[in-house]
Amino acid sequence: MTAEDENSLISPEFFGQYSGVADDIHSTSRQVLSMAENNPTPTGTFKILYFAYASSHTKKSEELLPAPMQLSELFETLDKKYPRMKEKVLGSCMVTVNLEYVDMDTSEEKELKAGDEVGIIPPVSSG
Amino acid sequence: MKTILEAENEALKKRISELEAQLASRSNDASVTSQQPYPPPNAANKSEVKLSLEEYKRYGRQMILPEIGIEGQMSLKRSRVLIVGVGGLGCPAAAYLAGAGVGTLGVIDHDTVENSNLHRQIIHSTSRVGAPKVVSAITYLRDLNPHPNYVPHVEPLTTENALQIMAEYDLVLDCTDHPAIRYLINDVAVVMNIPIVSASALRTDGQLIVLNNPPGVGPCYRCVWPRPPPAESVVGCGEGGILGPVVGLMGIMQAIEAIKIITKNPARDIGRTTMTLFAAYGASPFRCLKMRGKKAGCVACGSPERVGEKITREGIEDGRMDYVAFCGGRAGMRELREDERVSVAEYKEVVDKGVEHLLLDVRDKTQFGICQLAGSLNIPFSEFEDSKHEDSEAEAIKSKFQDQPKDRPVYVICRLGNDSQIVTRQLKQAAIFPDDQVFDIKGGIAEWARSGIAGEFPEY
Repeated sequence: MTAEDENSLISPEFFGQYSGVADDIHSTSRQVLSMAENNPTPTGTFKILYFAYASSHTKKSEELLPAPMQLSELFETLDKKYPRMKEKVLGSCMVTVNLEYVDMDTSEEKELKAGDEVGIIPPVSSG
Repeated sequence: MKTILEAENEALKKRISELEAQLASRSNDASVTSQQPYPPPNAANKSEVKLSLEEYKRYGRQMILPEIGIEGQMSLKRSRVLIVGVGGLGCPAAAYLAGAGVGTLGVIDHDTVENSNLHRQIIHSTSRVGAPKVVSAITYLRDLNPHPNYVPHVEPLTTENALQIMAEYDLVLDCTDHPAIRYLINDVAVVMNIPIVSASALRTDGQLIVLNNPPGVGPCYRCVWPRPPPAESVVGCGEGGILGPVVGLMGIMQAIEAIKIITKNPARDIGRTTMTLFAAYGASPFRCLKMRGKKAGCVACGSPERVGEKITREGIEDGRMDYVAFCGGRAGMRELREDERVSVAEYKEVVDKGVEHLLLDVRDKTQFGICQLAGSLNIPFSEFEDSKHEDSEAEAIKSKFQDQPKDRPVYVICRLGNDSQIVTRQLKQAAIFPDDQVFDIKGGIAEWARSGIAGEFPEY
């Protein structure tokens, strides 16, 4: 990668290359901010990331939950941990597993394994 | 005898006709060799366009990119793009698309420029505060690039006008700020086979996704978010705050996606829908999420199990779709009776008369730090919300007022007068103070500042 490439912050390659993986360019901000985010996930857990109002509801941007867990049990588990989260947050959220969309409306069986990364992504409408 | 300039002019004209001839033969080839399953957005607009010499120079730096080339530039010139909302997202998006030489650029917004817009809505200006945003935007854009045809729509996009307005465009940029209008844009774009470049931003984070692209294949807004967010979780930039360059970045990325769609080479570009999440303060600021294609059962772009749920052109036209109701009604709420509230003038009297009282400010600590009324006690709204999850809400609230005398009247204030009503109700239910002695201050700190009742006070 050349110095020029590093400057083209919004090329499509950038997204591909830097999406969700550790990188060098942002090492400084990483130290200052969330240390946990790029640390390896401890055995027996998966990482869950909360965005927008999911983060406001849980008061955290990420945490570790015990693995394995059936995807179909995820919302119930979160609702128990964070009262009324299903009604107030999860009902309107998109969910990703390892940076890929998963459809929570179909009864598709999927197991969340140790080391997985789950994203809870509410629609943000302002601009 | 010919001057040097004339000679140069001749040469350039010759070169242009050569390039145009090349272009014509190439597009003929393309139509034979690669049968496009989905026509590019501007296929409907076949009218011939030409670039002036000035335009060759103006667009040269992007035309020499193999991704654009002369064909891409012609596609841009043929394209008709609608920008819905010319605020934090729409401003930079419009500027870059105008600069890139989009042929027709429509701008729709019903708002006027306010001075609190200017830290992020960078194509408006201090001298145009009070002007319709659409007029202000086009003033800037025309100065940037006089070539595009700018179409002003100084009105809100509604179920009544959306079909008619969007029919004039091949691509729409959703730069709006409320879920109701996002669903409206989506439904109209789906029935009209128009791709949407959608973005949003709040605080220090942003989202970007290209929807209904190609039409009928890529997911639409309802595929991704079939259910709207609960009304109380919808926070605008006015309440939640927004870092200017964050929303600017999202708007610029919309312009990039728009250019990619318009100049798309179907042989080269594989349409794969992704969502980009940006978090300015995140450890990994960019996340790129792989999406799936459209949902088979989507009520907008798919075939729902219950056929009656399918959103149709007629349904929108007949006004059967109530987007505001779907998204849980309008913001703005009334929790209290009139006698449970006081105006800022009435509260000022309380202060002037020297009545012993407690002023409870429920704004968050950051806002409280910006400005506050003398002698106020700050307990953020979020703490009152959290108390709802405690075993005893009343006890949790009571513990916050341990050190306070309970025989004095309490006045509750927030920024705009909504949160304070909820807290006033909670305080009354917790029965810590005499029920008829807890009051909400109408319109909050903002009204206190606007009314000028206590002289100069910052409005933010």
